[in-house]
Amino acid sequence: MKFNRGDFQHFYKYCYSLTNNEEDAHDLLQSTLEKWVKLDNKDIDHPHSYFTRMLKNGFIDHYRKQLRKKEDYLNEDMIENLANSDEKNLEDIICDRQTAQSILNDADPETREILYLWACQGHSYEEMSEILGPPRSTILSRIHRFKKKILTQIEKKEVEQ
Amino acid sequence: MNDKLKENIKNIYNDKNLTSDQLDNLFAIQDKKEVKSRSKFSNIFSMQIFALFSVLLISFVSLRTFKNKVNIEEAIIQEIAYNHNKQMSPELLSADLASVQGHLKSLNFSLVDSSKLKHLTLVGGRYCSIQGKVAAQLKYKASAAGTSTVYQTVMPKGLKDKQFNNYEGDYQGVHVKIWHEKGILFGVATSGN
Repeated sequence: MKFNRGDFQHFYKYCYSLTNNEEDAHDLLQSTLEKWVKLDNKDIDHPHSYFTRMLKNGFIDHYRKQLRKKEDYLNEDMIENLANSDEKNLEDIICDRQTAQSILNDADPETREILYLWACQGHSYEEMSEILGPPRSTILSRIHRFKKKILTQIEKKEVEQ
Repeated sequence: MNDKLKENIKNIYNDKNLTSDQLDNLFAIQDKKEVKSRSKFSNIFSMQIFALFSVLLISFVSLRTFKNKVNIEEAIIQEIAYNHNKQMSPELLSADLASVQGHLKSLNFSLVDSSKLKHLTLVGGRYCSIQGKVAAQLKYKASAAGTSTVYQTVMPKGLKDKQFNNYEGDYQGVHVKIWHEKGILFGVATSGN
């Protein structure tokens, strides 16, 4: 199984969503590829998904200490409210690129990963839960926290202007 | 200019791309696998080429060593600077020295956690060689942008007999410091990258 230029560019962007650093993203991709070529990968059914998982695991192994472990608790009612409101509202948020970049820089790797899958891959929260592993409530929790932060930042910027 | 958050995020990531050199490097890594899976005839031919290259490389290194025999410190500085400029990625990404030690099973010495490196953050490690002896090449990140490569190996024979303490020098844009600590030769290479 050989990856093409488009595949490498896609994997690189994914790595960047995790690391938020171009050099680290390249290092992560290169070191994971070195492990990949040592595998007998011809029998892997979904090589792109498998390799993406390897990238994620490589990132976790290296940056484990920096990952946030504590999650907010959400009950079922809160989850339903978030499901009905957050996904739609996130689509409607307007801001400038600088604010978006600033928010990405401040976000933790898990949130950046979710935002990358949402904005660049067009995945729903349900799909993200299947791809990434954490339950849908965890995905929603992170989006909820992120949404609060970005709306606060946008409001603050409007007041300053 | 204001736009939808989704569009802004998409544009931010779309602007992040690998350079041509980085892509070429990735293809070269990927193609190494392809070389292994060619026919038996091709494999034999590849082995012959590899054997010839190894002989040439050993001869080259031996010749360089002979030329620098008078000043072994300079030879080590140059070797470390040369390896640093190759910018090889770590085989194992880890901030834990014990994990790197566990991965580099063929090292015939224990890695030392030097007090002189406390201000740096370990990124990972790989095998290397110094003066023909197996060495560990450790990648460290400084608090500001930039990386250092640190080499550890057993004290080379030529230095063991000398009154060797600290030594530093510059070679091909790389600044190298070497010292010995707990029976291990240390080398730290930094460049203007």
